[in-house]
Amino acid sequence: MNRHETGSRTEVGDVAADGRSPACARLQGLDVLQVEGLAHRVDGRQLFADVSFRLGLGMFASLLGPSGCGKTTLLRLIAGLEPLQQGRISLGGQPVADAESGVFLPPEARRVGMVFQDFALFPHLTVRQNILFGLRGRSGRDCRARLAWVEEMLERFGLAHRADAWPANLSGGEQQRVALLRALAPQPALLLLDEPFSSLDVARRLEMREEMLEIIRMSGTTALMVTHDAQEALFMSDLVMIMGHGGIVQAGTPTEVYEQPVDPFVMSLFGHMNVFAGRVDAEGRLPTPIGALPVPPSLQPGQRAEAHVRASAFLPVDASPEEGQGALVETAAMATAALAQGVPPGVFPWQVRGRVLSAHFMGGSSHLHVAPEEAPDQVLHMQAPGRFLPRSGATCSFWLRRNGVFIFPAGD
Amino acid sequence: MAAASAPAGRGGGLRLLRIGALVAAGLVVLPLLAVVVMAASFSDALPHLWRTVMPQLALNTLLLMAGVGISVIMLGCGAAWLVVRYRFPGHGIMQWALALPLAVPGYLVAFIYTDLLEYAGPVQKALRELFGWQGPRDYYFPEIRSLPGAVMVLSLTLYPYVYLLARVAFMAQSASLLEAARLLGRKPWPAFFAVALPVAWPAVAAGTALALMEVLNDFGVVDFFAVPTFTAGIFDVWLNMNDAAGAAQLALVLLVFTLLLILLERMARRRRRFDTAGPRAAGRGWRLRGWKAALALAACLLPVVLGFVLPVAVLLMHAARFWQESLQQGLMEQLFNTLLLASVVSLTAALLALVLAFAARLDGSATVRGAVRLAGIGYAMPGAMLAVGLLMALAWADGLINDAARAWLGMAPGLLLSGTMFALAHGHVSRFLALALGSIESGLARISPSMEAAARTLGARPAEVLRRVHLPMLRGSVLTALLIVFVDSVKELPMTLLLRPFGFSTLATQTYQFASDEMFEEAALGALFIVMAGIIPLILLVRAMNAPSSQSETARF
Repeated sequence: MNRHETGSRTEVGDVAADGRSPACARLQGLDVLQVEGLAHRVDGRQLFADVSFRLGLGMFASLLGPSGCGKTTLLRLIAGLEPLQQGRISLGGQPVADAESGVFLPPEARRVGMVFQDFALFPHLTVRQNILFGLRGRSGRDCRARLAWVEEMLERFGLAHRADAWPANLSGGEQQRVALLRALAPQPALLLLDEPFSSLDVARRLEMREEMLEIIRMSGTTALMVTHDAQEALFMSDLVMIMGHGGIVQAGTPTEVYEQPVDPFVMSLFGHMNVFAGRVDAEGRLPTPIGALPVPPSLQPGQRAEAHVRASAFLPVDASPEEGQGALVETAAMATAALAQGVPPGVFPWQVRGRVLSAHFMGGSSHLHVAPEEAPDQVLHMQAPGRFLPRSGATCSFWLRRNGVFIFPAGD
Repeated sequence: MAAASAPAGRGGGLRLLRIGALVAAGLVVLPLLAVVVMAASFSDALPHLWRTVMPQLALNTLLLMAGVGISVIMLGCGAAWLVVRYRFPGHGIMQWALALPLAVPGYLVAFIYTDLLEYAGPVQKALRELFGWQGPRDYYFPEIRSLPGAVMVLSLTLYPYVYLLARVAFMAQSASLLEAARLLGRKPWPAFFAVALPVAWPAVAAGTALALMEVLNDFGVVDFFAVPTFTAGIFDVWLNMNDAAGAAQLALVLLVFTLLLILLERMARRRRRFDTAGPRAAGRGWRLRGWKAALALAACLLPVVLGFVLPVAVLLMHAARFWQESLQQGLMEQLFNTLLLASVVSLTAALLALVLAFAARLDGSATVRGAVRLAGIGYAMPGAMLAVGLLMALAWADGLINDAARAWLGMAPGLLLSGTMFALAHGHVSRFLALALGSIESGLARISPSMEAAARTLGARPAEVLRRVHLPMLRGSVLTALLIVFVDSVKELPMTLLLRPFGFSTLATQTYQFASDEMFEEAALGALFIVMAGIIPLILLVRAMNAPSSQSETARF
């Protein structure tokens, strides 16, 4: 956190405490995981510092951030796979690692399960032997209950006929299910997931997300996932913690972090952006090629500021350009609304006009490069819903959604 | 290797290559075949042999194999696990130092330890002086010249086979495998036994099989320690009893043992080959501090000191005192003999290996591939067995030649093949061809068919492709092949003892002779040459270990 001082670092615990996030507030007081003041250096470089958060029972949380921000290291510290350098980690109220007092429970004593990026299935054991690996040493009713659970899960997730197969003969999705069941079989207090979907192909990912979530929800296990995929984090989590700049930058529910990003870094994780820099004018607006944007009251006239505008903030006014009627109902409805009321709801009361440089079809949406009339040498990135493919050189008009525009102060 | 790449030569050249490959394979297989034929032709098994000698030989051989097998697995896996998984002071040096004992032939270690530990040796002498003991009845001291002694000596020199292969296997294991085991409730050592060791088992089995083949091959240690095994039995029956039939039958039993060993190793490996390299293969080691670090270092140092440092120090000491005696005993001549033999053998082996490898690549028919595989089995065969077979085959051939010469020329030329340098070189080539073949095949595998295709589309004719692409790219592999065959030929003892022409001594046979005559000190300088030669391939190995792609290091060691 250097340039943008607006987003004073949010204490994640606070999120749960002040009840802004319902899922967190509900479970307040039942902290499964408590992380306090963690700091870590690698080869003299500060990876992160002053990381604190709590996870309530049954919560699914994710650590989202670019690669190299230390999120996997944080996960490994919680698991006990890395020596703790500074801070304290408690599981179920009991400290498992405390740099000050020197407490350090080895991983096997922490009751933490983990799904590894490469799944780490034992190649010399069958699927069933893999899943039962963590149950050794148990006996009696508890053990029988777990064995029954394992068989039920194998059945439920289509692995029953593969129970005696070798891991090498499984598909990626099957391997992932086995890895998850293996981690859950000993009933860990906390489940850690390290980029669990990164070794699956894109088509399988969406399917596996839902299935994994179902298994974890059914088991009622508290989970913490590390990912660099923003969609994944939003889709799966009750709580998203965004890591960068050597710490946790923002934490909140998926809608909070998406709709109220505390700084440009957080915004940048959620897709394409247009950035315009300038000075706040006397009327409290920031002049840009796409219009004079109103700034929050915290910004004084004359102060330098940056407008960050999501590509998805632009709505075509004419949903069926030369192309013919191509846009989805959504945009058509918008256009109808515009005709009826003059200005559709939730947009600024002016239109951005520009010359289309190129238009690319992406299936569910269309990506446009547009040179605004106000500044023809600049390029706007726009993402229009559905099929919207005007010819290159055509002039189009766009509404600008208010909730896709964010103004942050900029350094001088 | 790709079965059939585009035929690069004209029909005639290819046919020549194919014939060459079959001849090369025939040379290797000839002694084996002879053993089988001879043993079978003495159809009435020699009952006295079976009753008197065989049980003792079998028992000794089995006990020796069991003892060495267990010891090398423990030493090799333990050391490999320590250097791969943990970090402690001296870790970097230990990684390669642990391979050093491979440079010292077992028979040298046996001579040196006998020298040190026998009644008149410095250790017992010092103990007597220290405690004031008068004679052997005043105290107990373990007898080094015994079965346990042989197990110790052979284990100390052979554990690096397991160490090197296990080390590579452990390093290839994804770190998350072990972490997963920890998170599922296993402490570090249980996690090792539950996951790391079983996953590395195919490599461990391969290393152990190599070590046990050396045990079957060994003559120096078991002879010197008076622990008669099959190899020692062959010597006894052949040289002392002059019993060719008995020797052939013993050789056949030895062959069966060897084949069983190969079969066992295949079975251990038949379950899936694990490909476990993950995104963080091996990962960083766990740092040890304090007494744990000291213990780890001590555990690694012990086999290195006992198997390399101490023997070499003793040799240096003796050599410094007795070098003049060594020179007077014809050291220069033995050195010359050794170098001559090793040069002839390594050049021949490399040439035959080139023929075989190219034949397999260009022809790729089942016949040629079978020939190549046959040519590779010599290394698994005990030297004494090969020697017996070879002598019989060559004696038979000499007989034919002499009969023919007498019939046509009226005079007999005498022994042309058996009992000459030819027999000796032939024996060495049969045994060491596999080494050269392995090196050259792996080098050839690096030249992809598309490289040949690229050269051809750029306008090079087949012969030109060979000259401008294959040979330059193979230079390193051929050099390696020459080197490792050369070194193994220098170290070789049992076969040389049986096959050498009368009055012909190498460094190895001279050292053995002197040690038998209790004049080992005077052969120390020659022994030192053998060790120095043995260090050369280890340097290659260490360089391969440090290279980013460590494919080649598994090829031979």
